[in-house]
Amino acid sequence: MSILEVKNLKYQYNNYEKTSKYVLDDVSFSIDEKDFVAIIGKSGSGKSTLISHLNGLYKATSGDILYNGSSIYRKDYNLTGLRFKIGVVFQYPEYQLFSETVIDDVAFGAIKKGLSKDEAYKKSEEILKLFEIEQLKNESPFNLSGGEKRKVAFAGIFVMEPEILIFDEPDAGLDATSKTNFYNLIKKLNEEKDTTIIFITHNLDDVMEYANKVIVLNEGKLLKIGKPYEVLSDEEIMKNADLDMPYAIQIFNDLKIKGYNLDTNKLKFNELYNQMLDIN
Amino acid sequence: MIRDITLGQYYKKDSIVHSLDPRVKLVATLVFLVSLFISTNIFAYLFATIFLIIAIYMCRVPFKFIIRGLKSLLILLLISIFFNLFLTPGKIVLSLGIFKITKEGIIIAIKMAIRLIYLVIGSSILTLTTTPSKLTDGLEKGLSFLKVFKVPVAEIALMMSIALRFIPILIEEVDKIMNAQMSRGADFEHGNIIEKAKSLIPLLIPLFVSAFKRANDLAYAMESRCYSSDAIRTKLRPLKYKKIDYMTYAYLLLYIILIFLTRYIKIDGIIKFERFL
Repeated sequence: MSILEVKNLKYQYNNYEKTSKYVLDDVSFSIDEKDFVAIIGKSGSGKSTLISHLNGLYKATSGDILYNGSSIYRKDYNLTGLRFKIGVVFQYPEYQLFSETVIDDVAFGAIKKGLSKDEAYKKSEEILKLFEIEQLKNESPFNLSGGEKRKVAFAGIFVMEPEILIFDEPDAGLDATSKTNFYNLIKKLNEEKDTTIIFITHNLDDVMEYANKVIVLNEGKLLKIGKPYEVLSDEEIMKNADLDMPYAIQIFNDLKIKGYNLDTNKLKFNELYNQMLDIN
Repeated sequence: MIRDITLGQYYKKDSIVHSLDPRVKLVATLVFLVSLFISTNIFAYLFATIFLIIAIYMCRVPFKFIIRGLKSLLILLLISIFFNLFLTPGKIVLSLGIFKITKEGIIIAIKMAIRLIYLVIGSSILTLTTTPSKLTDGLEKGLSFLKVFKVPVAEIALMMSIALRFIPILIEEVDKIMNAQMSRGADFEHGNIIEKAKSLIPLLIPLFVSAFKRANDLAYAMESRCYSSDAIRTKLRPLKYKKIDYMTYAYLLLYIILIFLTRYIKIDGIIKFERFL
């Protein structure tokens, strides 16, 4: 069953001029429970604006968003409650860090959700351990490095245990190890706790590795939604969206043209690697 | 909510007002503001209204956009009306316990409200139609005579332009911070006044941190480009008066004269000129 449904969403930033362009233009898609969705598109294509709509921060000019079948634009809809269920981590962690210590900051969301102080701090500590930054818990969040700040920002959302987790370019500012750890962590959440994941990225290799659904945006319009191979191997869509097809897909396609029988559902690095090894 | 602050924002449009020399606009705004405070009777306010309507019409910025800035003025307006209404001595019209509304109080309250509203609209038009860089250029050139008195005009102009430039950036930042905190369940709208004040902490701290960081970055950027305020500079587009600018000055002069004339109009049942003739 689809957990989140976006219907004909339109949005413009400035309502004072009739001519102003739609930042989101008639975007419709639906996301199922346990999906791992990647949103791709070049800068300014409306990706960040789209995710700000998904937890009700922005009100669409027209169109509708359904969470578990009910419209979040209904008058009496509890938007704060929704935000505990749909957690959004924005691109800049600096915008949400404010407490004296890291652990206070992480616990903020949990306390707002209604947990008791003890519970919230216990949970925060667990989350910090998950991100391997428990040694920083009494530091000031302002003295951390960029990558560490990012992890604290993630932890601040994770602590609310949302059903859907949304990330705006989660890999920016993380080193390679932290990035792999982070993706493995959300993969684990996705597999074990059935958390739905939506993430924006410019790295198409990560899309192949982790996503099971891809949304391509260009100039506010939804170009395509589908399985990673369907989308990434579609030359026309990739060209229209101004994106480069990943090398792996290019090689994969060439091999297929040469008559090798390859499984398009197995695109993760290990799977691809094994498929190509098996060719001989 | 926060996007309602129009003060210091530039609205791109191709109009006569936009193309005027910034010095003219600065003088016009100053004249308009002064005229509001020397206005004593209804005719002066009438002329000021006409002046404002012409300016709004000519600048072609959507009216809705201009008056958006007024929303944030509401509380100040209410306070001013309240004090003027109840604390002005004079002929009592209505008495509510210790509060007494006087005829003079009503008149002053209305006058103050009009003044405040016109003041904000008038200065909004200046900033909406003039880019910060042009505004600073105008200030620098217009005030350059003060250099004789060792007033650091260039530095003041620079400070002003930086301050103006950063208003929209900070507003945008407030928006982003609010979004980030609201995603974590922060609530800025509900609760009593103490809860509301407390809920501002998660907003203000990141804002200050980022403002200081920005100031630091800007200082470094200026240092690394060897900025010095007393260097002699030439301008890419030197300010030069055009025909339209002189015409505007002429209209301004006419406006001032009209406003001054209204001071000599006395309303005593019938309208008559006193003292003047």
